[in-house]
Amino acid sequence: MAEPRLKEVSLGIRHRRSFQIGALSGTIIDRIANDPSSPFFRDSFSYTFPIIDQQGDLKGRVLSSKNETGKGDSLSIDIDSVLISVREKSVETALKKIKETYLPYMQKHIFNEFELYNLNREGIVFDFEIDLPDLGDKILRKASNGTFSNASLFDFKFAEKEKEPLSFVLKEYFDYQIHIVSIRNTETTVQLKYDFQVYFLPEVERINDLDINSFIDKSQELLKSKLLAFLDSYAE
Amino acid sequence: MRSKTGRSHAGRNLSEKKEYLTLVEEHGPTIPSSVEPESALPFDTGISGTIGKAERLPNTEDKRGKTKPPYRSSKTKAADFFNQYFPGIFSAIIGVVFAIMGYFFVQISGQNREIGEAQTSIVDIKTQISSLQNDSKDLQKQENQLATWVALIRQKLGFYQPASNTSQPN
Repeated sequence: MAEPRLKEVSLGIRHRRSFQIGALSGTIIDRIANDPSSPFFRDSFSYTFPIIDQQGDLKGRVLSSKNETGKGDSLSIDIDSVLISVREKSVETALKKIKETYLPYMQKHIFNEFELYNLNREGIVFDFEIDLPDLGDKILRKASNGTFSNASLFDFKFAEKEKEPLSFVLKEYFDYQIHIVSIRNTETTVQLKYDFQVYFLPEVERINDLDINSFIDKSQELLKSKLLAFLDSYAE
Repeated sequence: MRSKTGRSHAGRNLSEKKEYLTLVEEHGPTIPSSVEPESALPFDTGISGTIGKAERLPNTEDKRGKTKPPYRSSKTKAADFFNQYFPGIFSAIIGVVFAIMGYFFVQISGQNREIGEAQTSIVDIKTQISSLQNDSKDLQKQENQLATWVALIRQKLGFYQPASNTSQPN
């Protein structure tokens, strides 16, 4: 079976809405980009553009290291979340870069300096593409027991909610986990996304109360045991 | 994942575990709406989640009756324990300290009273001694007076010779 090719890995931390970010986003991006100790230093992160959400409001800004090919890492800060996206060829390299290069700065400077508290979700998205044009057809045939086939457009998406192990045991927490899988085809390839999210109830007050490295490690294990295992089941 | 510091250890019983599982099933977004592949954000702003029964979420209303947003404290386990039990521990310590202080106060007051009584007794004794000493002086004076009188009487009686025992012719 063709190997899925990694396009991007994104790690996001969602917090209680901070309305000041919309007004200060430019200032915040300036501070990050002009800080020589920042891994998002302006020499490499020279692009910035606003985030406009579906309602048309200006939510925040993106700082990007987009290069001549149009690809690069990016940092997104808006009123709800902080998101780092990394473009690497392998999952291990991408996660290593997030953990060692970007995450420490995000924890120490971005969250604490700009008072982003009360975290309610963390999530990581693995975005792949795979040269397996009949994958959608195989899934459709199996799902419909052969009733449908040869679909020209295919967009398969589901979310699996499950308990969070710590919250299942300890009274104080009501956290839970969600696995979101999206498989859609284009004319030439199939795009795969695996999104692993943990919702926190009650909210986590500060970024230092999160063990993000463990979360990243767990997401990598689940990627193998969930999405890649799912793909393997359709291998010829 | 939550970090290991500051965790409580209160575990769920079987019925609480079932309640938690039901809450997970009912709360939060189900299937998110379309996530555009070209979107910069994996968090879909258009998620139309079906929020479950919010009243079944943990009650975070504080004792003053105001609802506050639930969030985890960042304090350590020791600090959590201290904050939870601090009012009771503090009250108990204050009570014990005051009890000990009261005991010593009573003891000191009692001893002070006894000392005062003893001092009063000493003063009385001294007064009595002084009085006796004065009486003794008076008696001494009287004795001297009597001795003087006795000497005087003897002197006067010296002219009168007592009759001898030899016989006299009539």
